[in-house]
Amino acid sequence: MSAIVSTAFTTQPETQSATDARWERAVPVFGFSVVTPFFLAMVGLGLVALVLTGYRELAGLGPVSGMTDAFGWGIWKTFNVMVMTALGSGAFAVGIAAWVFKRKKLHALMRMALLTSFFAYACGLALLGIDAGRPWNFYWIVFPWKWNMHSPLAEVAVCMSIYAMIPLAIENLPPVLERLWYFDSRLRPGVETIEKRLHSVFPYVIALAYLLPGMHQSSLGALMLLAGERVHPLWQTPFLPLLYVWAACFMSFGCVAGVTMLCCLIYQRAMDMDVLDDAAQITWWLIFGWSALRLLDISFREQMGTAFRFDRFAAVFWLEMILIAGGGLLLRRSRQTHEKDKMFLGYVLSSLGGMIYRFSPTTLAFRPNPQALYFPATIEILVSLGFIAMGIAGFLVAVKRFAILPGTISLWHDMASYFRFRRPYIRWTGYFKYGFFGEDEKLEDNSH
Amino acid sequence: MHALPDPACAAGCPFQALYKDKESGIVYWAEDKCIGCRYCTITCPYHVPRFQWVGYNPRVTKCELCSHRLTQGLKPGCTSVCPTGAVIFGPRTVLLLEAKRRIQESPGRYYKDKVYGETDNGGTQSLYLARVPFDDLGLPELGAESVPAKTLRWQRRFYQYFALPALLYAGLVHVIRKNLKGHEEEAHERELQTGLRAQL
Repeated sequence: MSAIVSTAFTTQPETQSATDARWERAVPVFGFSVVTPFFLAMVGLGLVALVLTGYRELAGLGPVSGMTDAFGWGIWKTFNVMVMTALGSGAFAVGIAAWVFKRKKLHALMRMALLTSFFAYACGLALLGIDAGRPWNFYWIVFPWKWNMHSPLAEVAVCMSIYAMIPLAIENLPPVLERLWYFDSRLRPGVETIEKRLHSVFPYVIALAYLLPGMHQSSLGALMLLAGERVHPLWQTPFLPLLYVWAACFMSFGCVAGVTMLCCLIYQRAMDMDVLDDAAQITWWLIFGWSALRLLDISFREQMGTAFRFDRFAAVFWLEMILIAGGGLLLRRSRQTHEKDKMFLGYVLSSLGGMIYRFSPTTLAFRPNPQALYFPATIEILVSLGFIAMGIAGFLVAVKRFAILPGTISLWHDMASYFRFRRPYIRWTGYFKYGFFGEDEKLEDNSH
Repeated sequence: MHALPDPACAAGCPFQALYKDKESGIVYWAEDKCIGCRYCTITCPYHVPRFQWVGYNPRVTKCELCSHRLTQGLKPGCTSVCPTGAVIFGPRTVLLLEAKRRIQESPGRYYKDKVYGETDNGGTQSLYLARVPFDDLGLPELGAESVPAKTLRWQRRFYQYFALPALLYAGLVHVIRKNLKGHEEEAHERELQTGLRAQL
């Protein structure tokens, strides 16, 4: 990341100790330009993916992917949908903790959660459409009586698209409206009316935003129930839907808190350890409960013996369990000692373990027949990564243009001063009412 | 295989592109409903539905018992040309009697003296007699209950009439309305303290 040289306005109090900082307000990232070599690389990868998608639509799935009759699903479904939407369940998991279970500190992370979720789901939905062989028949989705209500896949397709397009998009509106409010004082009455209406429907929208992901994240697990014995017994269990949605919870906590910590590191922001400790504690309990349920389930089904065989399935199983449990233990420790690097590592390891777990039943532990093997083709990997890269690029623009990343109150004032200096052509009315220099612009003439 | 009670491919098919004909019991594929998700190729225990991997307009192919010939009053192609009667066609009850008769005629000739599909997977409309283990022919031992009934039991109960999700939604709305009110009041207080516009 190349930073534009910070002026005196942007200098951070670097000596400030971690526990002093309190995240009280979402503040746009300032002093860093949007167009960086990394950003351009992400956009480039995205463009390559778009071109390859065009080729895929004409040539069919066979020439561009490693999918076969035995492995009918490739990484577009098993990684970009199964794994990435689990990482992007932050709006669901962090939201439920904050809004339903009243973990008030987590409200500081909510905008990050909503944004990461939005991009993860957008990327997943796009690839769900590209992966479909006959996408023009998707229009049946608007006729509910044509749905097969008992099909887990119908449940996933319908719920996921409704969720990403309606409740998740509406939940992401406040930062956009806020930017309009600050951008020009003439827009304020209109923005305020919209906000008022939005707040009156918010309880219904938010509740829908928790019901739908709960349903489709568990249905993603139910998908593999129908595959029966083709999925290795260490993974195939009637509890698969519950384990899937539960894994999505701790993975998305890891994604939201981990991405926030990474952004704080890159954009030189102080971290609020009160909030991060709270998130780490919840993640640790989620991981503990999930691991206990999984091990109990395996031993009650008397399949523990298969975990001690010398084969690739046992190796994948232990890799998952060690990564998840190790990450959880690191989180538990870092919560007490406030070691940020350990906490970050804990989030990375547990999310990585969760990613492998969500990936396994469809790919690593899927045995359609003894000979079948699957490895994605180059084009398949490029398209998969390209859409993730587009999501990352979108995220980088959004944190620099909207108030997403949490920061301190003083950082907000720094930001306001910085932008007044750098962008004199914007009507700054309202920013400085109680601003850095103490002016009250209400006293000045606003008629222009 | 045209499984009798509920075929796994049709149970998983999101928009009912694969459906079981009520009269003949044949599982058909509808061109105008299939989105090409290939879930049927994952779920069918017999690997019957196949996806066309090349071309912009792929189809899912499976045996539909030559339905175009059936409408003309003809038998399916394979049974009409088979010179030895290894593949025969008819109503399921008649075929089952014929299979039992063949087993009775030469006991010990067939694997386990069993008709595959009589009860397996809840019963199938294609019935098999074999001298080698059924597993070698791609016919796995599945038990008497059909795969969807066995695996989707809880899934189906949960979504029955959409009652439980609706109840859950009502509860969530109630809790969130209460908490949102408290949160808005706190945000307003903070607004007065800091002089900065509240962020929800």
